[in-house]
Amino acid sequence: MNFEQTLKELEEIAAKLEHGDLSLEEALSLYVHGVEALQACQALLAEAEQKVELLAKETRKPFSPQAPI
Amino acid sequence: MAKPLSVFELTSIVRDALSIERLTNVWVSGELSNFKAHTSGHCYFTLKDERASIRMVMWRSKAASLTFRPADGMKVLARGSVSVYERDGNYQLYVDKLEPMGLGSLYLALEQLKQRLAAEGLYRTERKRPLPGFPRVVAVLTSPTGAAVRDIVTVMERRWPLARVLVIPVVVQGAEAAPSIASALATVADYPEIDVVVLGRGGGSLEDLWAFNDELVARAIFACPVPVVSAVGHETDFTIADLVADLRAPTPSAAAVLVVPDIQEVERHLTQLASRMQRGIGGRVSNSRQYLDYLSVRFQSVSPAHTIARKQQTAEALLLRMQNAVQRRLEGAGASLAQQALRFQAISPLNVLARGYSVTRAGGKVLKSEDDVAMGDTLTTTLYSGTVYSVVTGKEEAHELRANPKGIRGNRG
Repeated sequence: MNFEQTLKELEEIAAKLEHGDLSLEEALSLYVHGVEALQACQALLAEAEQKVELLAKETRKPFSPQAPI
Repeated sequence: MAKPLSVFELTSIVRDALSIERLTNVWVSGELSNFKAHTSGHCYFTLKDERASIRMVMWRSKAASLTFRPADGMKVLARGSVSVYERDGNYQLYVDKLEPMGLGSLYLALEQLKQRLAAEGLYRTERKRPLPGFPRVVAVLTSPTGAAVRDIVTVMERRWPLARVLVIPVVVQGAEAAPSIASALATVADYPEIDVVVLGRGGGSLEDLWAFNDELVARAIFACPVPVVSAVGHETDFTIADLVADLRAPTPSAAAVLVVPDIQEVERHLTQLASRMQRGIGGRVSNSRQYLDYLSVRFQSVSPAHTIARKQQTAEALLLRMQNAVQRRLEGAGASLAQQALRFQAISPLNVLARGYSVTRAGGKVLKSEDDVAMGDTLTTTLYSGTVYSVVTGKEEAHELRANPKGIRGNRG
């Protein structure tokens, strides 16, 4: 899922629901779609875990910065 | 003897003679003396070495950009153009830049490089690219052991753990630094998933930051396919890397803040979107419900039940009207019956009897003809006031014809 794209889509859905002259069916299906996308975004944020890698000699390995000695 | 020149004319010739390329935009080094910062903002001073001295003036507009506090005895580097001050008849350097001399020729070279790259358009604001709003992969070009990488990773973790951080280790100090940084920047092109680059190190003296003033690095930043944020960690001095970069951050932590969004803000934004969608759909549904109510009222008014009820009402009204009509008719009829009764009374047989007529019956049958009786029959005659019984002793046919045809009975002998 592309977070930025989904967020943009959500903004469009909210604007349409607020201002659009939609039929009830359209509005409801848009709403359902919006709620799903919203939950996907929220889940992504809730589960996100930072991944840090070090690129060394064209290979990547997990990396954790050392505390200064 | 030629006509003598005026003092001003001579001075003007000297001034013109000094207006040459070699004395324009020239750098000169020496020791500062007699430094005076006038209240007007203009600065007047002398630069000297062991064998000579030259007066200098720095106008307020130029002096405003001084990055240090000049003091007598300092070794400095001044840039300006030589001209003549006619009133006193001396020449002086009109200074537009004054730098401390600690770095000497290094400084000079840097200034020249800065100007050359500026002329080439490497710092043009139109070229600055906007940073991605939600980067998925952030490349961090810095020393893997320094404080800078730790600061950047910590801030990114806190703000936007969705982004992957790819640390590309570089040497940030010494002779190898510039080639190392330039080659790391070139590597970025091999990883198309990288959305943005942070190039940083955690501060240091100007000598320490020298790699970030290198032409190799400047050109590598310029060639980088994605936006580069410089985070060289020096508040006052802009390195060439800062100038070429798409965005300059004062510190590595600040760079991390600039590069990724804040998860809390995004969460708030999502909550707002949720309530906006909620309100939107709520309004839409309540509109529909109102419309439905309106339709329901309209449907009721045309439903069969309603029609029946209305017809029933009409029928009841009709019934009532009929009842009233009949009632009125009956009342009218009653009145005419009374009149009839009076009329009937006028022709009652009792009245006829009272006038002296009588009715005679034989065996209950009213006699109208002598043929109805036989000799010896008993007759009953009703009078007005009583009854007479008699016996037939004779009979005879009448000879006159009666007016009432019903009463006519011909003599059949």
